[in-house]
Amino acid sequence: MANPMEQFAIEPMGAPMSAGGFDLSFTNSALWMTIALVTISAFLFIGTARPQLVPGRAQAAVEYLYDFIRSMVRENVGPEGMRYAPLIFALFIFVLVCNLLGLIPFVGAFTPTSHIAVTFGLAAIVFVLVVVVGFARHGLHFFSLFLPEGTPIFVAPLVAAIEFVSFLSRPFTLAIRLFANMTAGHVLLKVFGTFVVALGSFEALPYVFGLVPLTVNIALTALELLIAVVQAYVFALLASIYLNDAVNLH
Amino acid sequence: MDVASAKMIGAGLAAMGAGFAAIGVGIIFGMFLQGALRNPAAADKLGARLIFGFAVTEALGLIAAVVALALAFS
Repeated sequence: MANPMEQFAIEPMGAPMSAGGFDLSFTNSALWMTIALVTISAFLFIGTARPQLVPGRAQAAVEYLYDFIRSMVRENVGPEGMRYAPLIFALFIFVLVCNLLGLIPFVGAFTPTSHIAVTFGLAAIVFVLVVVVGFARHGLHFFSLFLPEGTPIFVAPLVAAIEFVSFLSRPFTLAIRLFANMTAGHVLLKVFGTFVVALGSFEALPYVFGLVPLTVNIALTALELLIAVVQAYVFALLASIYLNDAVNLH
Repeated sequence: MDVASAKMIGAGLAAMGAGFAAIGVGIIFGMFLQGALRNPAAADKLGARLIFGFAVTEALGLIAAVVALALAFS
């Protein structure tokens, strides 16, 4: 059986480049992130090029998506958090388009979000934002985040330690959730793909038994489409919930 | 026992964590359905919390799955 992890290999597309000891080659990961950016730009540009009072199809799609994120931020952070809605929208649509583009068959699609370097970069943006906004708005009072109100004084050190560790683990769980979902989904598709070949190559009755895992694989592709959207939503939802802590302090 | 086979057994043990997370996710969706059927008017407001609870629970199972994959394929 072919190694199902091979599909995640990062390869340089053109001539290898390096500067100052760092490998700066243009890789397949960089190529697909660029395609994602072009797709997002085209989607937003076409949707907002000629705004009308009664939106057309493209404009309605952009407005629906943006309004979806805006209402989520308003629900979870409150009116004070509306200024961060564009950032949450940017994170959401980048993760969403990267996830969806990675599922295109036959074109050698690569999912940048299946690499922990990419997802941790996105999670680090959220973490740094939460810390900076928290200290900018509340100063040293931000540390009261680690001690919920009404904690009995003799368990306070224990509660504060647990809250602090859970605060520090947020960027890691945020990054690992997205990366693991994408990796596990693509591995699953590849494993069932090898089942199609293995069962379809039965000598006496060729191709027939391969149909069973092929059907499963089609169903799994539909499931992966759902997961791609849900995980982008979860990423944006958790980012706004973490932002709520910084803006409103419990 | 050599290291390679111990790694495979460890990967299998780590994969059990994904199954336990599945129990947790099942409880979350089951409880949501119970609540939503008892009070359908409140169901829409629970959607975000449902997805949040699902995501937080699922993450632990995924960490177990990643450990299993790392052991099996490295």
